Amino acid sequence: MSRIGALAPADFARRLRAGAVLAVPPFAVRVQSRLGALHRSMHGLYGEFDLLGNAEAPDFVIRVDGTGGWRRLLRRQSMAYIDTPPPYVPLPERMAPLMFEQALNWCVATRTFTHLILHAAVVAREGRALLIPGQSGQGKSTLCAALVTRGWRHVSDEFALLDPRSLEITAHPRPISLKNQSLDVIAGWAPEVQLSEAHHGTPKGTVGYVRPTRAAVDAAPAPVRPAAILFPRFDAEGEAGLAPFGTAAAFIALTACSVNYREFGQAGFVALSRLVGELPVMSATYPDTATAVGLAERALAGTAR
Amino acid sequence: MDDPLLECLRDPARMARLGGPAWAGLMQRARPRALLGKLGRAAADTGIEESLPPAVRRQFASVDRLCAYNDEHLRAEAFMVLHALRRTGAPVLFLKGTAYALLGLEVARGRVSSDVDIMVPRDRLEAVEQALGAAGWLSLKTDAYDQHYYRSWMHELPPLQHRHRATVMDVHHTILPLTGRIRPDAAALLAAARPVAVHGRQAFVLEPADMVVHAAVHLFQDGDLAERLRELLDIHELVTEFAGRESGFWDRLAERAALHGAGRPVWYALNFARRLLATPVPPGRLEALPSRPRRVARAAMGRLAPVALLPSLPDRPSAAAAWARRLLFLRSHWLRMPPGLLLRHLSVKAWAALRARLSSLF
Repeated sequence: MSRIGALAPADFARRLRAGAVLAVPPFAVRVQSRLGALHRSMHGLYGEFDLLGNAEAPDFVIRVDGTGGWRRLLRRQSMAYIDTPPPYVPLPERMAPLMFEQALNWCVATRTFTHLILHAAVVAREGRALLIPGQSGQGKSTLCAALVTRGWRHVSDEFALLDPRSLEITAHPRPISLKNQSLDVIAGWAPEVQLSEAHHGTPKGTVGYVRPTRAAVDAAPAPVRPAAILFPRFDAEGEAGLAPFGTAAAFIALTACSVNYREFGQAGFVALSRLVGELPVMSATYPDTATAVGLAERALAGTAR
Repeated sequence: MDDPLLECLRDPARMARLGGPAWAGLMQRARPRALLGKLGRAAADTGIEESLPPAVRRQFASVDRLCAYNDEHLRAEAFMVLHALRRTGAPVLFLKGTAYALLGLEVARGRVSSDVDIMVPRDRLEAVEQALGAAGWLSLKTDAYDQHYYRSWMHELPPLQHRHRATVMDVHHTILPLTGRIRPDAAALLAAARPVAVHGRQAFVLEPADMVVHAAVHLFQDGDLAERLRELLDIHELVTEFAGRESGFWDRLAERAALHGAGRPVWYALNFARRLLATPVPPGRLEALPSRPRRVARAAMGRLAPVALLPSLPDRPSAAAAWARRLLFLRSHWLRMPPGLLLRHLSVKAWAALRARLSSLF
């Protein structure tokens, strides 16, 4: 087992070409690629993650390579190959890192039924976690990035893996995906943050990633207990502040954020009912990052007892 | 045959000795063909789960939850269908995965399939279709030719999908196309059907020998076999369970195969299940089947079927398997329709495919 960042880039590239198993807690992912763009990007973004031995069995197998055929002469594209035709289209070759993130998200979201999965960021302080649900584009990743640069633990940025019985969340830290203005916001907010190159002209505009820290990856084996639920709402004109969120509305919002609620049947219903019943649920309205971070701190502090 | 997937299905204890790369390949081949749940069940039954790699245990646990949901889902959908059809007075017979789940058969364990299959008497088809439409089941095929194709020649209506729940359902009136070489006796299937209760409502399922005949004709008379190992495993599990539970099962199977004119596909089913999955078929039972395939056909199928049935690795498509599947695709169509109709059907389909390609280019 070795940390990816400790390997020479050429060595890491050689291993990815042959196929290597990465620990992306809680999963083991076998990645194979001939694309230099992916080798370079992963060496940086996954620098604190471990490379497992090749004898390790993987949860998921993802190969990212160029598309075949005569079209290659016109446009060099990258595509993720899993085992079934994945439901997305090729991207330009330089966007191979996005292709990989998309493919891994798809595997996690459609193949994991050990946990109830919510589209949510999870951050924690002193062992108490804040669940920040939201579909993509609602600001959860930006808030997550803003908080982890202020000392909060980066538990998950995209998927909260909730155990329906214990209500504990298994950490799944990944490169935090930021889009468009969020990239400048975070670069301005925390100049020391390690951002990947920006990918311009993706289907979602400009996309870049925040590199997970060693602390986040090392803490990943420890699950957290959510202490509060915070629905983020960026609003430049609205009145900033925390507002209570109705239990029933929160329940419905959480089912809408879940990718596998249906498959859990009654156990899923009970888990989400308990979650919104036992935890304080709030919405935070904010015009800027500093306000958002302050509100998140207040949301967690208000639940100290 | 030496194939890691077959070996693990036949002898699940082998899974305890697999290395990481072997697991990667095995899961890549098993998952898309809905065999991962089967491997997981087999591992649990053999008591070797503890010795499996953590990633494999996680994936088995996930697919196990999916199967449990699937079972509940099929039962709930079956109830909805019975509710929608309550005023038609038509007896409703559930087929395939839905029937296996309703009966709690061994074959239903670890089996992921969310589609619902029902069969009703042909003279009730119109009323059934109307009642289902009123309950939100809409046709997936809107093309006029497809509609004509199903309604005039097939054994089922064009597939339906529920507009809110997205469940897909096939409504059959018999178990093979009307144009095919074999014409099973639909009235006899219905007459021999066994009752089953679904949340307090009465429905029916095929009797055991008919259930095996249906699985056999579906795979060996009406299909191209491509990567459909799971269906052979269905046959293996059905036969193994029924032979151990239903007295006189083997005689009954030969009798029903003869009645439906399905001796040949049943012969293939038992032959390949025994050869690939070591199904315990007692001596003499294969020979007792009526209208067994001739030696040339047996030799050709013996070469083609195993190659076609086994799922390929996604990164290593095999040319031999592709050819076997092409030949078996032609065979299945040959068995499905008389030559004139087949020629007409294939040219309509080829023209539609060409038009679709051309319109995607410009």
